[in-house]
Amino acid sequence: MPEHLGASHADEGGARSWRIDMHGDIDLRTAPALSDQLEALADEKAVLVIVDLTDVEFLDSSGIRALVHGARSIEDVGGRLLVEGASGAVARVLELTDLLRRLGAED
Amino acid sequence: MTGAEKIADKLGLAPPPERAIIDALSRAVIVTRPDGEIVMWNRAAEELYGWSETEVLGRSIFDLLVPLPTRDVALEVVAQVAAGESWRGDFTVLRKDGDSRRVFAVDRPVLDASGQVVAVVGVSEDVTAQRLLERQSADLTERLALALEAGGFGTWHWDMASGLVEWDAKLEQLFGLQPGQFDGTFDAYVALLHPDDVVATLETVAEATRTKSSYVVDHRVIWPDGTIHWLQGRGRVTLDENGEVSGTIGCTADVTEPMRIAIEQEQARTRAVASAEAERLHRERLQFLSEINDALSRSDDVEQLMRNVTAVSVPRLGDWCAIFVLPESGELEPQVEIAHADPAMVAYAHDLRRRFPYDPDAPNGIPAVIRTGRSEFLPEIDEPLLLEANTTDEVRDVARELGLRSSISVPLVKRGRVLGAMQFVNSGASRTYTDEDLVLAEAVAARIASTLTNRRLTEHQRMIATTLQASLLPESLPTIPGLDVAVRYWAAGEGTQVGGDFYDVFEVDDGWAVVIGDVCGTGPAAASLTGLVRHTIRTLAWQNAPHTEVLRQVNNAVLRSGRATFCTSLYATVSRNDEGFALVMASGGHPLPIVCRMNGRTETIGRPGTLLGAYPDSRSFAISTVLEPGDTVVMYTDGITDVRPPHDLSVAALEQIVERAARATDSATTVADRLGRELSSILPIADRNDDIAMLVLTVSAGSRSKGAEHA
Repeated sequence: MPEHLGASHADEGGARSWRIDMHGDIDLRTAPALSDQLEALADEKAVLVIVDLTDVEFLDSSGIRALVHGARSIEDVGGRLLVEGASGAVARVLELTDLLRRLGAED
Repeated sequence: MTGAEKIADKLGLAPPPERAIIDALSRAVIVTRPDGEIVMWNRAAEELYGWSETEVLGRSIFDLLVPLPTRDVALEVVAQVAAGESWRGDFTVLRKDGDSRRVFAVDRPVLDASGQVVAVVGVSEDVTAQRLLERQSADLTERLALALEAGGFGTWHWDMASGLVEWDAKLEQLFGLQPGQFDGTFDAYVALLHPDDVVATLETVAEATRTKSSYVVDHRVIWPDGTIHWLQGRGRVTLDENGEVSGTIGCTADVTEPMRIAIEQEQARTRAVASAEAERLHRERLQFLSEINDALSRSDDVEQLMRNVTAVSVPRLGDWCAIFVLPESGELEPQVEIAHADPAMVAYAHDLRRRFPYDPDAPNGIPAVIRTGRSEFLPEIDEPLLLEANTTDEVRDVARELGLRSSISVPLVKRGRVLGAMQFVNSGASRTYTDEDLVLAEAVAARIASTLTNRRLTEHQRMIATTLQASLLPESLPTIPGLDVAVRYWAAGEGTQVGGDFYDVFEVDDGWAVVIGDVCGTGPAAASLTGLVRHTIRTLAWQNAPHTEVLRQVNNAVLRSGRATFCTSLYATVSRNDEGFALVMASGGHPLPIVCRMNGRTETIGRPGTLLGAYPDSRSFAISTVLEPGDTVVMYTDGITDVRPPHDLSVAALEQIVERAARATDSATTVADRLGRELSSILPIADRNDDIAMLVLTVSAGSRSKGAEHA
């Protein structure tokens, strides 16, 4: 996993659940690595992938695309992608695009 | 009769007394008895030994002349002579005054009839000075031999009159010959010299004989075994009694090793100098290329570029520099810029260009370079070249007049396409061009060609982007009576990319449709999706489809397009009603519009819907509101708000900005301008990485005022 992304993952509740802690910006520069990672988890038939956005300050359309495509890939193999911890501008973007409803973890 | 008496008799002279004859002899004659007692002492003896005859008669010659250290030798001599034998040899004696003398003496016995030695006759002469000279000479010879041997010198003597050359054995050895092998002729000597050194060697000798001086000459010889040896001859011209040159004399040593070292040192020095020179040229070359780069980056357009690069090239790469750039229109005659240190010469060059119009088919020169894309290198422009050149006498005259000396013409080529050419010329006493100059000129031409190509590509891209963008945006906004509409569109980047933001305003059956949207990404893919979205919306709008249905169809269209991308869009309609205008709108993942009421109350209206093209089951919500006179609506794309902190903008902050911008005006343009200024103060538009589109609608104050908000 590329360290410079500020992403880390931890096995959570079994071999097929994953948590990805994102940090900083998810933009044109960092989104491809997130995409790669989500595609890899889809290949592994991950059941649950949680993307923690608590420490993300900026999410642009390439970040949205990485999340939407990643979620679709994981759903295609019967899994689910959830985002949590979004706040401020990040939460607003997710809300405006209806993604918070679709991907938001139920609190 | 004695010999002397006979001579005197013959000459008819009275016979001199015997004693007189003996006294006339130049040599000392001393007669002693066998025991050494002196019985006769002639005049020369008196002079040589300082004693008079009367002083010495009866005394022992040993006591008188023989110093003690040689007494034994003297006794032996006397014994030998007394025994009847003669003795001759050098002997050291003492004079009366105490001086010691070296004498050469011959002592003979005088026998009586019975053979008994009765006396000894000693004849002696002073050889002190002679012996000294002889010894010095011997010493000198010895020392010379030692010196010659130590120095490895061979000696020679050339006698001009006889033409013979005398060599010693050592010299023969130095020439690789066996002792006695040298035949002694001058020709044989010359034949042994290295062919390359014959002329110089003989000239040196000739010069020395002309000036009657000494000389030193280094030359090579080829030994019979084929090896080459360096010899150094130091000669002196010998003169005869009349002061005329009679030959040469001198010595020669083998200097192969010192010469090898000297040659190696010279080669090493030459290499060091060459390497330093290469380094200097390399630095100069880099310096020059960086100056060319500066000149290129300082140029805003092609004309300026042409002026700058030619100016930088003179005089570094020539007295003259000209650049020829073919117009993009496809014309065959290039634009020209000429630089020379002297402005008068530039004027003259332009005058020449008028006299000799550009001929694209000319067999050589710039037209040929441009046609073939190959450099033309004329290192030396001389008369034969001019005469040979396929040109007119008039042109030849000009070339002669200008004193053209050397020239390089290189094509400006990029990816196989010839964009023009560059020419460098040296004239008059300037240096001629080398292959290195050609390489440098080609490097310069490559940079210029690269820049020209990039500039043109950028220009093309900008033109294409502008054209495409224009095709995606309405050419003009329709006039909506009572509703002022202003739009602002700022594309990110340098204008070479088609942005992803779009907007549209068009008339529908019972009013007008207002659309704003943002396609994820930029470039051709985004542009084509923008086209798809825009036309889908228009088609459905003209069919009076409900707002949510319009967005649902757009969602399906984007999904079906197969592009792994999506977009956001706000679809709204405005229609006149009694209060002002009814606004109905739905959002597909797009930022919601801000409404600022006449009384300053400002709020964001609408409800988020799913972004378009991401999910098959998208949803959106239609909401409506009434816009009364003085009300302002601002629709925007996320380029305004979603900027990387700290330049980001919360919706609440944007609402405040809109409230200020809409204050006391019903001009959409005024509001848009104010918003633009506010945004620029947060982060200059030029520094933003995302497109910004903004639609401002204001209901004219003249429109009927009184309305109610509808949910």
